[in-house]
Amino acid sequence: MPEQLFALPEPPASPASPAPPRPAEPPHRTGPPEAIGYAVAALVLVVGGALFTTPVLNWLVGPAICVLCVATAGHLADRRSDPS
Amino acid sequence: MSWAAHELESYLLHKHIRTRVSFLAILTGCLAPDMLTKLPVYGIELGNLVIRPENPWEYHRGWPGAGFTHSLLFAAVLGLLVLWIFRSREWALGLAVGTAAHVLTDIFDSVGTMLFFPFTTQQYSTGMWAYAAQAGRYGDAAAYYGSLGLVWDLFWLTLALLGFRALRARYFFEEVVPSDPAWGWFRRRLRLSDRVLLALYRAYFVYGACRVVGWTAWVHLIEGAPMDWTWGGPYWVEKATLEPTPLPELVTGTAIGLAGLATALWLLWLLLGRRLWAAAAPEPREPARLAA
Repeated sequence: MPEQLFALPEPPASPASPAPPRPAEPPHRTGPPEAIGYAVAALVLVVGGALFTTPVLNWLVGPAICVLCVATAGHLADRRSDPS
Repeated sequence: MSWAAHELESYLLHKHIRTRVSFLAILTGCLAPDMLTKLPVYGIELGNLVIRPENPWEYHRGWPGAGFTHSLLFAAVLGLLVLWIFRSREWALGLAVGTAAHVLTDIFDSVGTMLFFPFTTQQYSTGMWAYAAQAGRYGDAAAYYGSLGLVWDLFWLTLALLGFRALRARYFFEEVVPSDPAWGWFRRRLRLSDRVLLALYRAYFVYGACRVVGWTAWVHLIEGAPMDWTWGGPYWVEKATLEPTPLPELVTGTAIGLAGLATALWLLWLLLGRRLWAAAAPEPREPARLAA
């Protein structure tokens, strides 16, 4: 029998065989509204930081602005998609 | 002192530590040495009363002063203390690693840190940029972002961006959340959604990156301070410097410091750490998904 140079294609899986496990989706993905929230936060921090410095760029207010922008953007998007 | 580098390095540390460790603890550790000391360095104003050390750098980094917070043994003791009180391996390890990273990051300014305190009070410094806390918060910011301090922050920002996987939702829910029960506590007690938890995780990266850009814009566009690319700059600030240590004294001090630190760490582990580590059972893994 000649030496097999190439691997033969895998036979199609029978319906009984279990499907290979798919990696689970993360519980939450960053959607476009949240991406906009991050962008707004970055803009507020850069412009506000350059103009007002410490009151904006400190380790409590700075991250809080980021969380607030993302949460607000996500919340607004949720309300628009489901007005009830 | 380093500015945004301390926030940005915590993401890289969590990504590269190959064991379960709390991200929040690393971040807290990266900020802790300055949280405990920095407020008086720039001066606290209470009406007419101004509380400010006579020599800010000696208070911040030296001895006598609060410079012990910027030493490697302090990082280990902080970790042990947390292990003893909270029985959490993830938090103890995270705090120790974060604090040690802060101590090592700060050796790049003109004053540096006492790495091996209390075995030697030798300051270790590369003198890359000027330590200028004595010029106040704004003078310090101008000196940092008007010199190679900016390059140092950009270096960490680039590393964090290259390791962007650590900022993805999948990494957060599969690696960060299961390693730290604090996220579950946020979910259950504070009823924070996954969106807000993820934003909270990324917030210090966004803040750190914007801090670099915002302060740099303030220094150069609003204040018009010139950029000095030379080692040890900027030339236009009165910087705190160290007396040069003769080489034999430096070598002897370092040898004593290294030996003392190694012995202290070994004894701490043998007498306390080992027992506390064994008693602190690993925390049950926080589920990535919120139970319905």
